[in-house]
Amino acid sequence: MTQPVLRALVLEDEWAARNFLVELLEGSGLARVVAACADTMQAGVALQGDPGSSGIDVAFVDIRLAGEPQMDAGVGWIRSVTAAHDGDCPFQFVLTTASREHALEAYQLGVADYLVKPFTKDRVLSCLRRVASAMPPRQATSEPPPRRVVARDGKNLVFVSVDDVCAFEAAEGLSYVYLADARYEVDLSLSALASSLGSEFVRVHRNWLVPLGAVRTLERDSGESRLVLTGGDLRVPVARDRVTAVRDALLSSAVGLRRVQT
Amino acid sequence: MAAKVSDLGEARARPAELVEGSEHVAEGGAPAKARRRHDGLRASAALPNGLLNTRRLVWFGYVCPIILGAVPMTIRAVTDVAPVWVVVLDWSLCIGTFIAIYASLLRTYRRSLRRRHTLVRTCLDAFITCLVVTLVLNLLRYGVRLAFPHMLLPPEPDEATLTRVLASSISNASIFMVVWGGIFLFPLTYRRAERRRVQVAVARREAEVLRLRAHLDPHFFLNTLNTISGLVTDDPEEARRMIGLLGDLFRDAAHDGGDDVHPLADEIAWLERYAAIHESRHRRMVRFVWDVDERARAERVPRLVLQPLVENAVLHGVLRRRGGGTVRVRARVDGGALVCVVEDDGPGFAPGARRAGAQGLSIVERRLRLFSRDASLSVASEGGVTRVTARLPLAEEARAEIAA
Repeated sequence: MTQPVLRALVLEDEWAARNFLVELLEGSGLARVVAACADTMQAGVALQGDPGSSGIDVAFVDIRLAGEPQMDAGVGWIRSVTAAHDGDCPFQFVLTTASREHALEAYQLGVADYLVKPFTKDRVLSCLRRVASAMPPRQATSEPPPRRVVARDGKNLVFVSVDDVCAFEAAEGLSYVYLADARYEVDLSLSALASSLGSEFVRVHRNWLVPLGAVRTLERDSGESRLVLTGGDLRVPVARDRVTAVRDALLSSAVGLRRVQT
Repeated sequence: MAAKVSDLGEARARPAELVEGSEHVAEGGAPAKARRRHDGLRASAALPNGLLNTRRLVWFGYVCPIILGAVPMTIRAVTDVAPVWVVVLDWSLCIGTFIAIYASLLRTYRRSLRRRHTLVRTCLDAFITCLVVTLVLNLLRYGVRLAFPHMLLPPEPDEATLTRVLASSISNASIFMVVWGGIFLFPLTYRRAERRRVQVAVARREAEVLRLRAHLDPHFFLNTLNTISGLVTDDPEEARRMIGLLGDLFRDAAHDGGDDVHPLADEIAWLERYAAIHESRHRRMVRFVWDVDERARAERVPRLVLQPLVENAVLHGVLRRRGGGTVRVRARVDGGALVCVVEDDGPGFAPGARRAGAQGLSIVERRLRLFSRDASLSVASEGGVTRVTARLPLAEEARAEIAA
């Protein structure tokens, strides 16, 4: 690993915008999103409550957050986090907003960068490079973060190890993560999750994202294909146009030829 | 379109230039001329409005000799046999002629300008007005002089014939019309009408600029584009739907058909698309409920006048509430007025406090006033509900008012 991978937190109230930013960050290869939060409460929990996390390097914060009484709740959150660390915050902030009206405020807050919407790949890349170059060396050499998914169980946040995931489902505009014994809401789309989790998770259906390691059986029944997953009786449909690709992927992993991720 | 948005943004940043800029559009091909005229109006408005006013100087210069010329006659008459009240009556009729002509000419010119008559038609109207006024007053004087023939100077009773009265009335009317109308009153009323026309054009244009700015709020637009970018990978159907909705909003908001009013049904259709984008962007946070009376749908309202109210209800209302909330849009016909209500269950505001989104509200209020003097806007926040109510007089009444 030649370049340090930044551990990023994304605080963005809009579903689509959050997914977009996560996809861009993950797609850059320079960052890994360790938590994608819809409001400041979740972000606060994600910062303190995740016992396995060794912290984050950068937080991408939307200025306007739905559900918060203040119009610039994101700025308020940055202030409170900075104050909680006595002005010496161990990670950097990047503000995200549609307008430039907060540019001066951002400068005064001392944020690392200022991303305007709509986001672009190049702009996100240059932002991440800037953040990485400003990072203290001790963090630049730290290990990549543990792979976990932040899910929601009612008002609580649940930190799910990627190895425990049976499947992700998208239904009625929401995403869910299936464990052997539970189902939780996830605040990310399947595309964003897929870009986060890498190639061992396969999109077998428009509404399903499955880790290949969890597949026990590939069923075929009068033209319909299904996957039976380990740890539960979960049956996942496979889209017709993806059957071949899914079978190839399963076969290749079955003979131990799983591609090594670089 | 993007250029338009930035133009509007700059106009907002420099409100002082808004008036100038908007005049360009209002005056079409002759912006420079319009500005000069506008400046001229400002200069004339700055003149001291006392006795030194040119118009009044000329008026006194014209009237005083005539009145002074009547003084010897009056002295002679009083020392003669005529009773004093007759002399006073005669004198009053003489002065009354000037005043009546002055007033009626002013009125005629104003009416002609308001109704956009041609110059020939205006002159004809003015001439007839002068003729009628002088004829009536001269006939009255003729009657007085017939009753008291010894008042006449020199005492030549045969001079005071009906023919003579008619002839002098026509010549008087011509002189009055040419002197007063042609030289002073017509330019005066023309300037006034022009000033008012420019003011109306500026106000209308300003409203247009404000309106466009409100609908094409860059923040809303850019955020929606970002949302669409995010939807592309995961929900292309929704991304396409959003592009379609945004396109419709643009088409209608940038509509340049000239008519500034449209049926409430169109207004609601636009708002429903606007709401759909908010609902899609903030899933489970923003919900809309519509309750529009069938009778109300046909009524005409200023184009997109309700948009800032809905924007406020979303931005300062439900989105500022934990867990989101509901925006209710209601419209009904009630007591000769169209009543449109936009409600939200957001945090509201304390009595006396400045309402968040006050700028949007004042824009709506100004546009309603432009639409009709009887239109009104009220805001109330109580019992966990913030309610903005717009009352607009029904179309017939509104039209009658505009025509008046």
